[in-house]
Amino acid sequence: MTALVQAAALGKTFAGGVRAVDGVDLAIAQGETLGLVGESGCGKSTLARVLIRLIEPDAGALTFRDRDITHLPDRAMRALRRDMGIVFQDPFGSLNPRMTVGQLIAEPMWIHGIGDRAARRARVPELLGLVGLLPEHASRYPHEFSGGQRQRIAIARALATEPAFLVCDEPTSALDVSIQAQVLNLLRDLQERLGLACLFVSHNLAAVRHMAPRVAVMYLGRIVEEAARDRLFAAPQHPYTQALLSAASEPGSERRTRIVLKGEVPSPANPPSGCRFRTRCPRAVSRCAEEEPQLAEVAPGQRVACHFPGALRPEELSAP
Amino acid sequence: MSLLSVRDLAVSFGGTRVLEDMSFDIAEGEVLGVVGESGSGKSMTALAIMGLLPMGGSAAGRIRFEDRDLLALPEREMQRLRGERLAMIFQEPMASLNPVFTVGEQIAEVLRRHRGMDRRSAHREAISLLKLVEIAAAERRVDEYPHQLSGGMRQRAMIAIALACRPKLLIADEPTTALDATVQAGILDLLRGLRRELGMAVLLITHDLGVVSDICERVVVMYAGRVAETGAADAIFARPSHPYTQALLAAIPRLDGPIGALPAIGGVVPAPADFPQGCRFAPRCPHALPACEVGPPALRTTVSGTDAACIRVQEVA
Ligand SMILES: Nc1ncnc2c1ncn2[C@@H]1O[C@H](COP(=O)(O)OP(=O)(O)OP(=O)(O)O)[C@@H](O)[C@H]1O
Ligand SMILES: Nc1ncnc2c1ncn2[C@@H]1O[C@H](COP(=O)(O)OP(=O)(O)OP(=O)(O)O)[C@@H](O)[C@H]1O
Ligand code: SF4
Ligand code: SF4
Ligand SMILES: [Mg+2]
Ligand SMILES: [Mg+2]
Repeated sequence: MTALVQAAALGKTFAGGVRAVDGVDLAIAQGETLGLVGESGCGKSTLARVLIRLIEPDAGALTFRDRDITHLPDRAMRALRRDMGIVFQDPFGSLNPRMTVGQLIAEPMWIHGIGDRAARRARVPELLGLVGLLPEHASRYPHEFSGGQRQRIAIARALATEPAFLVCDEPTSALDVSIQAQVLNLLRDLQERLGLACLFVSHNLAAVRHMAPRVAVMYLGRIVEEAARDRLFAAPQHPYTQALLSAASEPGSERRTRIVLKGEVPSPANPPSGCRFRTRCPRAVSRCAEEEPQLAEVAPGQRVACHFPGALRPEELSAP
Repeated sequence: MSLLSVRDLAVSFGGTRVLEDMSFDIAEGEVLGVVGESGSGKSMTALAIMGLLPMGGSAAGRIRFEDRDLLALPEREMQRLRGERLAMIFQEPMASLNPVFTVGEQIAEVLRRHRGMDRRSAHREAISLLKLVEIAAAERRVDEYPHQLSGGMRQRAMIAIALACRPKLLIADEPTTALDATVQAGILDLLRGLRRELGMAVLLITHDLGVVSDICERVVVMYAGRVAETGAADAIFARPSHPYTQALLAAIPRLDGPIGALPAIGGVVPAPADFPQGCRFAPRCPHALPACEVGPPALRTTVSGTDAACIRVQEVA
């Protein structure tokens, strides 16, 4: 299986020394969806944007269709862009209010010189149909639509150039619960029908479980665990993944025994030495401060960056 | 007798009714959850109780707190009540913390005004309140400004300010929505503990059914400005009776169970100007009949013991 998108030791440091993405290895195959979870500020959005070079990486290497695109010049990059789409969290901010829905959807085709004017116009109703909207919606403006509908418009726009890779950055987080399901179903359906490869970013673990057969967990700029969905949710091996899962609450289920983490997330400008999670990890020992754990396979398809992977024991949880 | 009793509460802006027929009770030390989608009237309920409706908004109905009728209370007395027996945590902590005063000064202000403490003891008490809400290094944090705190700490500082007057009722409007799950878990544990320790009742507003299920004994489920279903949290989650509650619970992705297309609810929540005259869920309800469109259905008791505003509840539950 060759990867469509591959990152090796990928990094991005912002002004002020914020290491938002710091040494990430990952691969996404053609037609595959990878889920990315982690808490606010851990670098999910930055990583998502670096993968399609909306943000320039400043360390490591990035390949797309086996081609090194880490430093591909703008011109060459522009041609590749039609193969990559992105859907943002905010369905209100991401659409130009002065353009009609038809113009918004045709614009990416125009930018990439796809088809002539007539062909592009003909494609708009098709794309609207694909996301469950009607042809007559093309002449309306974004403000005339609800949040869920606007997200559909954003998805139609992202799909206009028939990309092979779609980044979805918290695509349902701004939507009401009853609307979220509509958009998640639409995305699932499109993934299957169009054979899209997808990076699905969310802090909602249940939504990620629903969308992605494989899931990566991020903490302070690094991937700390990656595994097939069933494995990750049933048998998480990294202490942070376990804490994250234990904190999720579900309507009507028994309350889980929570792993309450001590302290605060350290600043990404000044991450702890060794393992970045050690300041909050119930299992941390001195080795964790000295040596940075690398992602290593602990079970088939499950990679964990921890010196002592495995389920936390009750006595570790009650320790102060 | 209940601590708070709300009867037929309605809130209007000009000619538009955004909330109506809202009734519920909270007993001393009880945690009541109010859930509903954006615009369903959750915040308006809270603000009407606090006497803090936005400009142009007016409330009708009855709100009895202890032995006072809040809607008839003069503003001066309402103000005193807000400092002493009623407190509210707002959704956006940065908007309600004053950036030019330290956290300690803001807590001490409440203590001096409402509990008549002097400067020194107010400062001491501020530190112990910060400790109560589990802010580490409280002695140092007390002299810091809001921008120096993380989101989770600010939310805790807000709770500390709200607790400074030892309220009988704490209204928390989406207190954890902006927070990460691991931080949220800590805040919920904290609220649970405080309510046990201080005997404080909590009205918890959220759109997150997981949060409700975690901490509330009873729930009010709202839809488009009216109560759809209300009852014991266990009963509502185990056996929802109103078609909206049923659809909502089915549409949420889960951490376990089968994976596949989610049973989504078609359509959208109507805006107040477009509220249907009958059952407000009718345009989206799979069980709707012409009779549903006659008028808003009254609450009726269901087999699971909840109350649901649906004329077909016996058949669909
Ligand atoms: N343009 C920027 N300039 C400087 N720092 C940035 C910039 N964008 C992001 N950061 C910082 O990089 C880190 C990672 O941010 P990022 O937005 O990638 O996180 P995230 O995981 O997407 O968080 P959230 O869940 O809140 O969306 C944060 O510390 C953030 O403050
Ligand atoms: N100042 C105002 N003037 C007119 N209408 C208002 C005003 N504030 C709120 N509304 C309307 O009142 C209704 C109820 O709003 P409310 O803020 O109570 O909703 P909510 O349930 O708290 O929603 P959310 O989950 O988004 O916070 C909404 O339809 C809203 O548009
Ligand atoms: S390496 Fe050490 S500190 Fe890091 S997660 Fe593993 S046990 Fe915890
Ligand atoms: S009253 Fe009618 S429309 Fe409303 S929820 Fe019940 S069955 Fe559905
Ligand atoms: Mg983000
Ligand atoms: Mg609100």
